Amino acid sequence: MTSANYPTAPAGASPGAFDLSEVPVEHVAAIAALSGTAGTGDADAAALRGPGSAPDAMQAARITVPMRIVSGSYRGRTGPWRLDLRVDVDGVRPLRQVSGDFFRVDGGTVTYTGSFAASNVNIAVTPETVTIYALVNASFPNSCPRVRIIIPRRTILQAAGEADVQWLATSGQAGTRYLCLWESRFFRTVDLEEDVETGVTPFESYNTGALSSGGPARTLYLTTAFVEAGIELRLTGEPGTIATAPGGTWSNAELHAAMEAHFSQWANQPQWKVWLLHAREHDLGSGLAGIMFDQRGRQRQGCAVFYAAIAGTSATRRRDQLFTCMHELGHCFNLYHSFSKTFTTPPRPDRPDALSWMNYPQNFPGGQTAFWSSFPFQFDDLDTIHLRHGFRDNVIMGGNPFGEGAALEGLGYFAEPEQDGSGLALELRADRSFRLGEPVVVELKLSTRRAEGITVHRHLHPADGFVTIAIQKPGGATVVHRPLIEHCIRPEIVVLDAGHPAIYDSAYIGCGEEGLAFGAPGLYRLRAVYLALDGSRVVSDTLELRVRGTHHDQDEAVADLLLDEQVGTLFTLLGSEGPEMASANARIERLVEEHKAHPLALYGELVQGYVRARPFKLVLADEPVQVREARPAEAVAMLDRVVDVSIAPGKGLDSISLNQIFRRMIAALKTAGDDKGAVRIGKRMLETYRKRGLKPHVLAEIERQRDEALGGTSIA
Amino acid sequence: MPAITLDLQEGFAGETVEVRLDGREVWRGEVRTDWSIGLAERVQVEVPAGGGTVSVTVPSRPASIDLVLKPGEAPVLGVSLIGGGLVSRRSDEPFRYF
Repeated sequence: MTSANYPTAPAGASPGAFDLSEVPVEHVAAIAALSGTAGTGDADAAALRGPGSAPDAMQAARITVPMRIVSGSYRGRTGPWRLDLRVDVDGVRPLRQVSGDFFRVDGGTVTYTGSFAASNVNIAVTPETVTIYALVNASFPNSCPRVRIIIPRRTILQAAGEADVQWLATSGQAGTRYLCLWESRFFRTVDLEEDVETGVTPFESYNTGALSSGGPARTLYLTTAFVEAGIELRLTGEPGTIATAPGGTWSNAELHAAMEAHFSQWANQPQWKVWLLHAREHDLGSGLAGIMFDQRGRQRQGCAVFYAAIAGTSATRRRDQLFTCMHELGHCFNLYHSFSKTFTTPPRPDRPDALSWMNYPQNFPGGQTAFWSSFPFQFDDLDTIHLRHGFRDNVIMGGNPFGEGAALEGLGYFAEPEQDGSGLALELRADRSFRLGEPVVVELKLSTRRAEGITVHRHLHPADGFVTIAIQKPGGATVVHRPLIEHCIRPEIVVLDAGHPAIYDSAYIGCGEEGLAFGAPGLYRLRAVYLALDGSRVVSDTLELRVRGTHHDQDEAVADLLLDEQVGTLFTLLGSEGPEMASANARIERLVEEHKAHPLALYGELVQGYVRARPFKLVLADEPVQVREARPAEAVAMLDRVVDVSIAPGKGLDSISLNQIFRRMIAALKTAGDDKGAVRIGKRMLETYRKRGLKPHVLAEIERQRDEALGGTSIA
Repeated sequence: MPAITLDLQEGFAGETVEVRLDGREVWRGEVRTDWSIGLAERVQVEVPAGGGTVSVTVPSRPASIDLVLKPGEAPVLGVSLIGGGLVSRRSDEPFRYF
């Protein structure tokens, strides 16, 4: 008789699911060899096994000095890469898996870069070593998909041995090697913080033998139940109390707010930390025993159990409390219901007959009575594999959304560091939404987090090569902004300290090598990375930026003129009179002439005014260089109109771009010999920024920039 | 008239669902399953003492299911959208969700 859900599996529970004793690695290897279920046919493992390997493995079992289990987690480092390795070949409920996570160490930052896992690994055991061969699946492009792990055997009286991890190409050529020190017998460690609503008595423990059940009778706490899954659940302290009005119920929004207020370790990043609220009742009534409510932002960081229908000290109630707590915490680990696995991404087979914390007893074939009489109070094997060996972002709280795929924040280079010792913070800002077609300009701010000075380079513009910006479009596709022009520069160094804590710049990112990035209305999400002098990668928070749709025919017409790659190039260059830009300049001309009153016309005047402020050299083949002289009066008139619009808060140009326009005007007037005009613009520049309530060090910098632009011209 | 509880449970991803009693529309809405509990929407339907037929339809699929209630019956009904079709379950007690 076969399982209803697996074509190759027998009916009933998975082998070994009820066994809580430690299984020696020899037995696991022997079972694999005798049953012919050894891995993927790796040639090296087969050669090592050879004829008679099964009897050799059984002979090793006669060693009388207890040997340490080799399973658990290990950590090693080679070059900039750190490997967190998980070996699962012996011990309690060995699942014959290996898995791991890679991190990149850059200066003071440590960033997760990817995970790998392998099932049904080949195991070869001698009295001296355990050797594991596996062909892994990885979340990253992997030219060395084979791995050989050699772990020396140690007795329980000796320290654990190092895991020697050698990556191999399919050709057998050696890749990177890691020596990983043993860290823990657990595969993962999670901190649990609990709070209790006034009047609720939270679950403590339950003896599984109190009522008919599968599995051995034992007293289970939440911590020990997770130990059986190979997960260390660390309690972070005594539960706090949340005072509420009597008889009140909780909505999901209120639960989320309570989590952000009371979960002391809540953070807007992936972390192995989770919050459990023991509460009275949800808005949906006593039929809802628990919920993983955290399904927005950084998801799966909190859950709640409702005691309205399950309060009490009877065995049945304690069992229900334990089950609900474990079930909701399982959701925080990104486990779906056993009967809803087809709705995950990617889909997996449903397991309505699973004897797992993630099933519903009433959905089990035969109903609740049949479930409870067979349930061993564990996660089933596939759920346990997920907990122990799932790709990190698919499991960690705050990682991938519940049941869904990767997010912008997990995108390789743009992932948040696990650790950030850089002492720096990068902000990406846009203080308003943008009209369709409007040039998208973002502001960047790099600041120090340390009281003492920190040396940085001042290059925040992506064109300088030290800052990269990723853009996730409304449909989910993500592009990296690649500037049309890159500057090869010698970095200018500054010190950020208490007196000068930050530097700023702005960048037009509407057009790059990737084309037009903001060509459709909707919500875009952006992230930036700054490469610091010590190699640290300083990652900004995610900026949500909205491009509004068109409402009038004129909006459509203007958007049509501006959504053009040549026009995007013109904005990148801040104007050009080269013949290759003729069609773009024609569009800009139409924008200024035909749509003079439209709010986006100012961008036309911006590029026209900016380029007229200086001479333009036209270099054509076989012709002398032609110089179009600067037209400062015309330029300043145009740029004055841009300034007039932009002075109003939230209108026109951002502050940093406006600063650049002021200085361009000053330079144009000085070149034309109009020092009075230049001083006038300089005064207007300072007055504008003084009214904006800027910090003193920012105002001081603007004043310095003004003075530099005036170049010794008397201001008095 | 007694009210029965109709839980729209799994598989809903923003579809419009129509609920009719003996052909007369009594509820309509866009529903989306909360996968952490397996419930999208709870609808109360007042059913005559003589029984009736509760019909649940998802026009966009299209999928439809008729649930016949005998006189005096007041079960809790659960309907899920699975594999493009609607499946139902009945219970004498409210469904429990986790």
